[in-house]
Amino acid sequence: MKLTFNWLKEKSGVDWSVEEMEDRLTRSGTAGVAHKINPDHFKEVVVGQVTKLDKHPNADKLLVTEVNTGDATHTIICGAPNCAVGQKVVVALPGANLKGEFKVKEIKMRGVESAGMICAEDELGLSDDHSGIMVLDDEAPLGRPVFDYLALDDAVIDFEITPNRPDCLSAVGVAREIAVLAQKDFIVKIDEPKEVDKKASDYIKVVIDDPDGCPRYTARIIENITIGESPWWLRKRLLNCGIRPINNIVDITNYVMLETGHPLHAFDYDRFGSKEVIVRRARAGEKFITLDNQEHELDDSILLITNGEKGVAAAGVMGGLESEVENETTTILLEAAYFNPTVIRRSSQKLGISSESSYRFERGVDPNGVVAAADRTAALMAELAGGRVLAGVVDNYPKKISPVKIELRPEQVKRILGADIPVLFMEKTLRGLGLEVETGSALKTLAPTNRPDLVREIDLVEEIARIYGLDKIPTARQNGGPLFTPSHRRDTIKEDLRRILNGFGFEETLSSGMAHAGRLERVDSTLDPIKVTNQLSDEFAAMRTRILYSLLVSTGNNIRHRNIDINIFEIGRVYLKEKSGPVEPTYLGLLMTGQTEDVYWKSQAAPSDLFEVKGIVEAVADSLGLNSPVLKAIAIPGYDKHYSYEVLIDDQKVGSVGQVDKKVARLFDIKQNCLAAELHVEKLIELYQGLKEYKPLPKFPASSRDIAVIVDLSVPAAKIREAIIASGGELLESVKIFDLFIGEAVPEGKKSLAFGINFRSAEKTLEDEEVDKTHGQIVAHLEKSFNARLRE
Amino acid sequence: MDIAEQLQKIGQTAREEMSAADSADVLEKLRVHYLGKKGELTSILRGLKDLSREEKREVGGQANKLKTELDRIIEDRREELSSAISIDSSFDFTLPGRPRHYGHRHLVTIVMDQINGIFQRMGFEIADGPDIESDYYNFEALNFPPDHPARDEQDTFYVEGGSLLRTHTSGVQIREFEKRKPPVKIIAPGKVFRNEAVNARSYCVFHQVEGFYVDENVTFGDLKGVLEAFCYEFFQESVQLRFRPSFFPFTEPSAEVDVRCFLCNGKGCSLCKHEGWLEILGCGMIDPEVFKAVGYDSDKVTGYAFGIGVERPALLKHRVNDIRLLFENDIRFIKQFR
Repeated sequence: MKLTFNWLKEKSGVDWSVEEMEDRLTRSGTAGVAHKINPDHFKEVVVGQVTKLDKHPNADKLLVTEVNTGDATHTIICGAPNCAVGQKVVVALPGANLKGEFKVKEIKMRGVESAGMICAEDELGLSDDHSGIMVLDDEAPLGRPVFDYLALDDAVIDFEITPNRPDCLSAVGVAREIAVLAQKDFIVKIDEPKEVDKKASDYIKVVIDDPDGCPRYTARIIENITIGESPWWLRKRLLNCGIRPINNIVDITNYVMLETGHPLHAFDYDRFGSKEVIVRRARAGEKFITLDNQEHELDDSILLITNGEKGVAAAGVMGGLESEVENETTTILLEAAYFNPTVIRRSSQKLGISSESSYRFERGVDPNGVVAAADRTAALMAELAGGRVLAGVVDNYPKKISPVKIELRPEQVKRILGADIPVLFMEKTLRGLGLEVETGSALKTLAPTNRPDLVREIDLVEEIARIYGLDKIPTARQNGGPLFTPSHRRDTIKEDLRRILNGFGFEETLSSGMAHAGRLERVDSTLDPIKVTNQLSDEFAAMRTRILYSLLVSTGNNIRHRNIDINIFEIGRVYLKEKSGPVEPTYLGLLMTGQTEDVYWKSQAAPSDLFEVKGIVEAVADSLGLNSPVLKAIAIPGYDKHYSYEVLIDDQKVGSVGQVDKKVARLFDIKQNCLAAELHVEKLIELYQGLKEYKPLPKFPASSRDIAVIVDLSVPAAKIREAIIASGGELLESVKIFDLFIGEAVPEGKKSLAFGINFRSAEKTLEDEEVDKTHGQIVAHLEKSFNARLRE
Repeated sequence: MDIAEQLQKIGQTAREEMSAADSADVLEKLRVHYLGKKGELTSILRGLKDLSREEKREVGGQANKLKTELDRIIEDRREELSSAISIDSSFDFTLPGRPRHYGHRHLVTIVMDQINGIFQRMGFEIADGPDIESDYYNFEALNFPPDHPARDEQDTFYVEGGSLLRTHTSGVQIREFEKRKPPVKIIAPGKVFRNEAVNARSYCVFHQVEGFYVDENVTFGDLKGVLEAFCYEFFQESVQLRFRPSFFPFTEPSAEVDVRCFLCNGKGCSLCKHEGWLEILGCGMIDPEVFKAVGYDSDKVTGYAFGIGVERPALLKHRVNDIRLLFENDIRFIKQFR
């Protein structure tokens, strides 16, 4: 919400600079940012009068004008359709620098000299209006600098009002804040209109069918008005505050709303359709056209103002087209009401309309301030539109809303804030804010109805705190609380995993956790994702069921930027549907594609393959102190079914490893081979078996033997390794596979596998004969079990 | 001259000559001269047999020590002489070392770890809550009544089954209060979701660290102390803070905390949008309504709560001007931060 500096200064009576006003208000909870108009942009911009108007000899759409600026006459070419002789206009003379970006010079336009420019509002930076040149009041003095004449030294302050402070959605409300901060008395002058003898109650009756939705409705009648343009001061205030001027009547209701915070509505009395306002809920299916010419189908969540027959306004939200004020309007039915905030909020949501009016009603206006607002509006209509105000306010107030009693114990202020604030300051502050205060050991207060946020003692503590100044509350230098707070494996394991994977050269990615429903389905159609019902876009329509999805999105983003060698990991939740409700297990996902390592002049990098990922998974398990993982071939969605494995540790499923299905990868614009793994982090935590007992270091040396065997291609290396261990007896300490060979030296359909075996005894140094004997047993066993042949 | 003196003299001369030797040949001659079969020192060692047992032990010890020393000097000198000649001319140490790539944490993780670490040192315990949350924990128990405009400030994603994606980490307050009795001193880092258009300034997902402390006699002054300490540590300099009253349904009084823009020092620049201040967190004293919802007695305990957005300070610290970069996961971006 925007208000102007001069307006606030005038209402508050406090003589602060713009900067001080901005700062003090911001520090007390009414955050505002001030914008000033730069006077340099109005240098050589003066009031002029059009004295002569001719068609441009060489251009149909241009006019050649003569403009008098008091001491001189200038020939200026103008293209505005509304330009007329006698008008007072804004003239930018050569040397002007409009908005700091457009320098006005003497120029020749199609053969005619032009010594300046007649300006539209947008060219001056006053508004976005470029429909025609700006026309000033007739009294505007010739030659007067426009900056002075229009009082443009007024800054606009743009406020961010929190939803608990509807009272501050007005000049009066903000001015009261200023006065309290400056410790000055604040008085609101009530401006009662001069009334004529005719009674308003003879013209209109108000019936409220739904007192909960509409606790109060008042009406005034103003006759004999003339619709026209509002004076500049009024238009300027509206423009400064971001509201487009329409005509004097609409402008006045908007102005009073900005001033008092009360939304008002002016109906054309003659087009209202009856002499009775009936406020009721809309009927299901009832149709209504709002003044923006949109037809709405209503239901009973909407509060409707009717003429007894049909709707004339969606209460508190927007008026109807049919009873809108028009140029011919002469009599005004003025509505000033208090509607229930929740009802207006629902109406506004249902209609899909958020207006200045609904914004205020749903936050809460002052039910006991409506008559003053109606009076102020009527008085302005008399003054600015020639209206005659009929006697009396027709006031229907079935649900009276009274000020709230609140007790404030001064010690409570100290207890919450930790500051010693004098009781006198508290009293003064609360009175300044409009509360009635009765002194005593506890302050007995009565909170005004324009402050619906003040209900409890804590609400008053907050008022004291913000007016006193949060910056003045002394800062504690000690830190209370428990002596010790524990850390949790749930958190520390993530730190460990990051360190481990960073150590292996992996970069950490972080994703939204949301997914494109269609692509997610293609990654894994076996898991039904939790869908977002009000999604922002297709990309964020479902919750990811697999961490693989996010890794593929990140990989695709990188490949599009030609980063083709990627080792990434992400630790995050996936979201799964369970009967009991959503569950959110945490997964570690990792993905490798392209070359495994950076370029090195001594050796050639190899493309990543499944053994790289397997090695990482094994190392991760080992780093966490877990037993070695076992990989079991099984088709898992998202992976190529021939290269897809379940990861088992201690016979428990902890995740998967595989080569990403090429068709799936292509959905993410990835054409290169991707290897991935997904590990369930909570499972990894569960599998940890605690600290291990120390094993004494061997006292005697080991002996080693290598065995190379030729076996069928189909025999798994792990099976042979297991057989070696099984037949190696007590002396066998470890077995490592150090070579695989397939090729010429080996018969077709066969492979050669080489194993390095370590033997050791805990009691003595082994003799060669003992080792040879065991070695022989192993060879015999392999020959028998796998039809293996020793390779010499 | 007794044998001990002779030894000393031989030692002195031999050391000098050997250090001065400028070729392997000279060195070899010196070795033969002193340590060879007929060498000076060897002769002395041979002569030992004529001495008394007492003298044998004493002089023999010295002679052997000298022999060991001279052997080492010859060895060292020989090494020096040979390496001086045989420099490997193909050795080029400007070639890069074997790349040992240490990966990077994501920038959000880096900043989150910093924030968590600071608060853990101040005695806060880490807790967490679900991303898919109920209306009760995200709004209702936090004193957001249904149909209250305060809900508009947090555009919410809803999911099937009536749950929502949490719009803040504040729901963890309720979950932890339900499980514990005061004192409770916790931080809850996590992901939060807002149904907002994605652009350079905002993303529909971001991270928060919620913190809260409930105990007897916790005041707004304590809150200020903790947050000032945090900012001092986090920004690694003495930043100026501004506590600006604000509104959150679950705290009262509520405040937003701004730091003096560290780029322009408050003069106004594009980083702070010419306001001189950067908003970094929201905080306040926990509202009695929240205590009521969890069965705490607000006459006995008070508490504070705060919520720090992680992305914003991360972007500010590194002058990153587009939040989307954080979620695109371009490794060239990720690799820039430690």
